[in-house]
Amino acid sequence: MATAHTSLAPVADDPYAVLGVAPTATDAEVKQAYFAQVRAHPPESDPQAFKLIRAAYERLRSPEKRLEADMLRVQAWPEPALPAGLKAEPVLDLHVAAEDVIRAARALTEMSRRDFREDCREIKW
Amino acid sequence: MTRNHKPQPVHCLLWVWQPFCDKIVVHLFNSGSEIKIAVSKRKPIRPANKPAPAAKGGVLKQNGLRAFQRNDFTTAIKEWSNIDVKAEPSIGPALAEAHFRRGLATVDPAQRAADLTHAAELAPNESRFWYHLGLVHHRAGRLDEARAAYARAAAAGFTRRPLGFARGLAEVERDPKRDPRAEVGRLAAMRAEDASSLVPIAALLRGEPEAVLDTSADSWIERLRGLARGDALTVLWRGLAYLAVGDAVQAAATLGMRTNSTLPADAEAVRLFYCGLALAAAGDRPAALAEWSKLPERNTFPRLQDAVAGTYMQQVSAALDAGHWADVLKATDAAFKLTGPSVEQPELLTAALVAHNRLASEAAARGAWAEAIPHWQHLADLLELAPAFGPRGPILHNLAIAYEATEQWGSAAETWTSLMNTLPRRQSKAKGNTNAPADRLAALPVAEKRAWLRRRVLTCYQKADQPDAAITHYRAAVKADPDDLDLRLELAEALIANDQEIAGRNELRRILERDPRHQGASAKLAELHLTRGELGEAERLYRGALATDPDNAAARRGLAELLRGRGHAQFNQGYHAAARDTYAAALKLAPDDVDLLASIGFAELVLNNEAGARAHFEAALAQGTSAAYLPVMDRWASYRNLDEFRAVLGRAEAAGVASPHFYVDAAGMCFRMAQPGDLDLLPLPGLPLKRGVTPFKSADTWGELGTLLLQKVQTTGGDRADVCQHVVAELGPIRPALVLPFAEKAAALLSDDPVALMMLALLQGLNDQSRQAKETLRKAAQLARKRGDAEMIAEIETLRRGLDDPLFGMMSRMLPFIGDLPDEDLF
Repeated sequence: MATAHTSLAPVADDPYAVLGVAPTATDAEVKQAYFAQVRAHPPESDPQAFKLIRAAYERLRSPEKRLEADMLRVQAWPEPALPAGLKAEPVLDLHVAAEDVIRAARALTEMSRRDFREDCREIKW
Repeated sequence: MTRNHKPQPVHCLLWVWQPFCDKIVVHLFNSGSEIKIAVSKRKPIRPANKPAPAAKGGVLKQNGLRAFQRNDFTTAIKEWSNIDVKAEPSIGPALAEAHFRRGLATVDPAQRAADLTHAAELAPNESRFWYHLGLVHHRAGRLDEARAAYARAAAAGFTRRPLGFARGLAEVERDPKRDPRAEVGRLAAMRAEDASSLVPIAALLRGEPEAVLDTSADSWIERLRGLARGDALTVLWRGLAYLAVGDAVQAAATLGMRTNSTLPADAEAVRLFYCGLALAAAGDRPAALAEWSKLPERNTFPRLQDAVAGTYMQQVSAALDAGHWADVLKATDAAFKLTGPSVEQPELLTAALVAHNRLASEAAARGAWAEAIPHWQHLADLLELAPAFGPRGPILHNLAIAYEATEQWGSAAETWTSLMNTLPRRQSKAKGNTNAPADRLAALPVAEKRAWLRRRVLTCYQKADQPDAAITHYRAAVKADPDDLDLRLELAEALIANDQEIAGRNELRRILERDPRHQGASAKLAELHLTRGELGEAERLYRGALATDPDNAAARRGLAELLRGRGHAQFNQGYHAAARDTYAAALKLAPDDVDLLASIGFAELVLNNEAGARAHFEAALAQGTSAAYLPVMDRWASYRNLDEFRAVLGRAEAAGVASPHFYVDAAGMCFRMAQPGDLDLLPLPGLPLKRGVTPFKSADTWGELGTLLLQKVQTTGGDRADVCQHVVAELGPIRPALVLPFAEKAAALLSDDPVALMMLALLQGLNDQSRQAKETLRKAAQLARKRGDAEMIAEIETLRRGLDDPLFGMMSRMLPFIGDLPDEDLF
């Protein structure tokens, strides 16, 4: 089963994080979150925060801008679940395979030899 | 002679000599029909080059010999096969030799077996043919055939030593229970030392490793040691035996022993594999890794992957539990280095994927994009190999973002392209609700996503200064989907942007051939005509597009622009009423265009309809932006009404839209209206007072007002590089003395920007400071060289030469009198 590991860009770069809404929020929810943030950080008392909030909202305000923001946002990748075998005690298969013994033994014959000049004859008429 | 045709003109005549029939036939061809005329009878003719049978045999024999001597055994076999062996007995052995030689030369085992069989059948007494046939069968695992061939070789008197071992091995492989020592004497060619060599092999094959470890005096070891490679073989077989009895430590020690002799490649590979296995089982992972890394062909040991995975599993598992992702990767990388990542090892692969993802995500969250890139790259590569382990799209997406963040635009473009290639060609489902899906991007229509990606690829290639790559990208996409007209339009736009206007124009025409009503293509083509001054054609295309779709934004904008230009032309020629009507027609297409409103107002002013003028000016000002005030101020300035100009300026200031840039533009208008004698130099705050000049209190003239506005620029944005640069670009040509301090400030703020230094040098030159200008250009050239910008270095050199030109000095003295010269003529 896949599990989604949420990965985010730095908060200031992520308009959703700045506004405190999920990336799946509707346009109305985004607007609502913006107003809530502005109420919490009015420009006269917290101009820096307001600047960030305003910039974040600007990036999500229109469908075109929101598409741009969505496309330039780091995406979560659904990680595969770790197989159960990983937790099991590793077992090394130590048996000596017959085919490997034969492979080594056959290496002692001339099966893999390429040059058999001494077995060749010239033709003379 | 026969004649079966009517007299007709003959178009072609062909003589055909038919040597084996009794006729010469003349073929006459006319108008498609063939007429044959037999013109003579002859006796059968033998071809002159056809030899008599005996002579022919001689030629074939010689041809075959020549081919044989140049190792072309196939031709030799072909030539000799045509000779009757009974008539030419020497051909049989020659043919057999040719098959033998071809059999030895080929790498195709089936061909080799067929040739050697043929050779042995043709010359059954040749022991070497049987021996080699035995080897071929043996290698292929056909043990009975191998044994029979070895027996024939021995019977025919094959004397080379390897036959005995090979023959014994075939027997042992077939039945390991048989004692090789008992075969000595029974099997011809087999000797006692062959049997000694075979004893441990047979023991291992029949599952009796203890016999190999037997160190009694009469054991095989004593006899094997004296043989060639004896010590290396002793190490191999005893090491394998230790492993087979479960003593990994002893097996590792034995298989790792140094010997005086070496093993053949395949036997050495077996030693390395089992030595690594024994070391891993004994707990020495690094040594195991070292042994396995020496294996030349690792894929010939299918168990290696399991062995490697088993060796690293515990390490990986512990690192995962602790969340030590870097350690996970250290272990998986070591394993992959040996066997390569494989879906056969899902545990290691999954661990590597997860670790790369976590490390990349953590780095990205810190803004450390350069750190994230290699992890996402690896992740993307692994997912390409194992697509079932997760979607590649999000990884490519993130990788492209990371490349952009690190300004690797070429790589970003390629990665966005790869992402685009993962998308289906067409949307498979109905368009989803993009307002509240579980995953907005996943629910985004493919066409929309593809369009965004295409634009992004193009942007990245442009930023990478690779417009050709962008065009290649589009051409490939168009080739894949020639009916995607929007894509073709993007190609056309890319071509035009890359100065390939003709190709771009052709692409636009191809779109219109397919869809004459294509809005984007007709608007773009019209725009091209417009820029070339082909107004009639442009207007025809715009009006055609609007007739199809009155809301076509590009056509509305384009036609409005065209009409604005026409209005200006009419106005300049004195046709003020016509100009007003043309502006009004343009305004219908672009109702929010404040410049058009201002132009209509100006035309009304000139036509003495002040009320009409004011109505249009007010309509423009009602939009409330600085962009709305400036055109109106510009028209009052052109009308030389300083009071009205000042009034609108005051309204803009009251409305709070007067930014530093606004003041720069307004000052520019004033200075353009000022008389040369107006050049009163009001000292700007922070700037040295020019000797002999008395500051005035009010701005009663255009020049005074301009200077006052420039003072406001200095106060509100004089410490901003963008504002200073705006001042230099807008006012430099007309008030170089006033602007010089702004150029100095811009150069100081943008100290690593050669362009800012070039602008300062130009201003210094215009102010008769050519020595300082050259010093500034030297610094600019240094910066450009540091950037490796050859084009800019050339521009700096051109400017330096220009400063020495007598015309330059003359022009600088004339500047106040030519105040409205367009900027581009000077910069």
